[in-house]
Amino acid sequence: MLVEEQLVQRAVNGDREAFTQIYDLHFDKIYRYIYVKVRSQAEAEDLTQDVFIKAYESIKNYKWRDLPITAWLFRIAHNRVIDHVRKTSKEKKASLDEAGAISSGDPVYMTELNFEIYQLKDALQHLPDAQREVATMRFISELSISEVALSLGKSEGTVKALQFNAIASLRKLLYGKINGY
Amino acid sequence: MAIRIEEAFNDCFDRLTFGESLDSCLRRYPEYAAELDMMLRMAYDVKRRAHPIQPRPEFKYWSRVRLQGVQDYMSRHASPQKSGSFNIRRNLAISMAGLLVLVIASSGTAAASNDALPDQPLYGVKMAVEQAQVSLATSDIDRAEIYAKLAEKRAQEIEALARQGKAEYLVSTSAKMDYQLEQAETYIGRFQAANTVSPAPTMEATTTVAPTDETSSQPATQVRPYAIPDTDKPQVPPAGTSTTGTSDQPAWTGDGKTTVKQPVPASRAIANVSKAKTALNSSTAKSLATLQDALDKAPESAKPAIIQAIERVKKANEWSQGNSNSVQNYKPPIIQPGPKYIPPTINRPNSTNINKNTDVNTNTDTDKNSGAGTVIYFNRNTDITNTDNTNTGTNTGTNTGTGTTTTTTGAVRPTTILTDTQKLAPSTSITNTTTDDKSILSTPK
Repeated sequence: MLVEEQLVQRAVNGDREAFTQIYDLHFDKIYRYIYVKVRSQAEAEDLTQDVFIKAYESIKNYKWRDLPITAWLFRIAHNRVIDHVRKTSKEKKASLDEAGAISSGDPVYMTELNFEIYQLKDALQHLPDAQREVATMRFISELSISEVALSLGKSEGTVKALQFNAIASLRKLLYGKINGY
Repeated sequence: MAIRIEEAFNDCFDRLTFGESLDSCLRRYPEYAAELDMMLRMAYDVKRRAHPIQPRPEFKYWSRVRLQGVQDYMSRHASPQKSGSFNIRRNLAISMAGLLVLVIASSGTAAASNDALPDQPLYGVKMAVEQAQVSLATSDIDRAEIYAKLAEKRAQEIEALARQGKAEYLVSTSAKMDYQLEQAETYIGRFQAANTVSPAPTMEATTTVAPTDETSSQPATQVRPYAIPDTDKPQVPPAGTSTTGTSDQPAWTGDGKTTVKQPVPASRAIANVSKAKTALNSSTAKSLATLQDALDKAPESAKPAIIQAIERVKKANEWSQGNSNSVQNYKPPIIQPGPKYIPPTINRPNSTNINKNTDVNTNTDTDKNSGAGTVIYFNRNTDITNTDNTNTGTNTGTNTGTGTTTTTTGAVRPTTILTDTQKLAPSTSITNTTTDDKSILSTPK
């Protein structure tokens, strides 16, 4: 049994420390996944917290053989974001001011970073849903191809094709069309 | 059957992530090399852009406390699932308030918690006290020093856990230490960026720091994670912008608020950075000894986590010894939005980078560098995937003069303006067959 699987089994059995370790391992990835899908840092923070509370509430019913824990958490995050976007879709879209990385103190540097993040979020919004999901999980949350496939319930071959197309599309959106890509 | 480009792309992306070089990956798929090159650069561009997206440390901390509040609440109720999330959330505020009062009112408990381990009830108090220490720090340098100390405490906890055979807590404790070291490095780098402190001099370059192939008028550069090295021609910021803060330029704090930032005098800024790095160096040196001790005592199952922790502390220790190629020191080329994409150039072996060192080519005065000068090689990181800023390059240059030759271990990108004398290089004595930059520093003895 893998170390992570043992950890998860302890959490399923009610070990709080084990769940806290799972939380520590996945928190940043989940936050990044949510952040690029919503409009503001505040929304991303609320939703990230909701995901882990929901996960804690449901962990007793979790079975590893159905889905690895990473894929399970991302499914919760995905559903939570869908609910949220459905409720708020008529509201204004994200502004540049809302694109916030951790402050580094240098205003020029921070402006560059935030502009690049803003561009990325904007470009992702123009991708088809499936490509956007794959690109976000693979390149932003840095999941493996199998974790993405399991999270989305798709085959690895499909995910590979989607990630390639997503990158080609992002390139067009961010830098314009060159050499057919 | 020929492999499809999607498969090749995925394979290369994974290989790059695990440390293979781009050139090596592309050689595996010569039929797709050009397309893969573009696509992999784009994938890394996405990663690079997304990297700064991190939860605020204070949010992460309080979110964890809230989760513990939920856990407390659910553990007090026999059938938490049946009570439903509404009830949990409704009572969360009560749990939180209780927890806060408990923490504030228990200063004696706080002292007693100092030696608590992750499996003990007082560990939560210990964490809260530490967070309060960070919150009370008034400057980035103070925060960096506190985080360095906290990372040292985590190393001590790892040793205690290993000694007591509590291997199940090693991963989370190690993750905390990793985070705290990262914070220490980040705050030092942030202070450097805000005050445009030139890199603290290393042991090898205490008297002289020389730019290599670029003119010294270029702004200081910083290395970003996932950045593809663009060594040919760093782009300069748009006209009218400044890379240095001024007293009347508000600093953006990341939360939409602005503050007026007063630059710290250069000498004090350098002293502060040096102080913080010394603290980090001392702390990591102690941590290394502690972790080595832990490794000796640990059961086999716990050793991988400890070895990983040792590697992390080693990195921080090396960083604290004064490299200048840290994440925070890198000023990235500004990407101008526009219809045309100009792919950044990878510094390949025997590239034009060496030829760009025109000082070498134009120097005909051998008298001035055949003396007891010191030759310093600044190895430059050329590996697209090397995101941890370690230098994997080697240098085969030779110095036929009577001076000493020193090769730096970090990927150094000095920014100090050279004098004409310092720029002088021997016309024939160095044959550099690697991608390393080189410079000659004339330091008469």
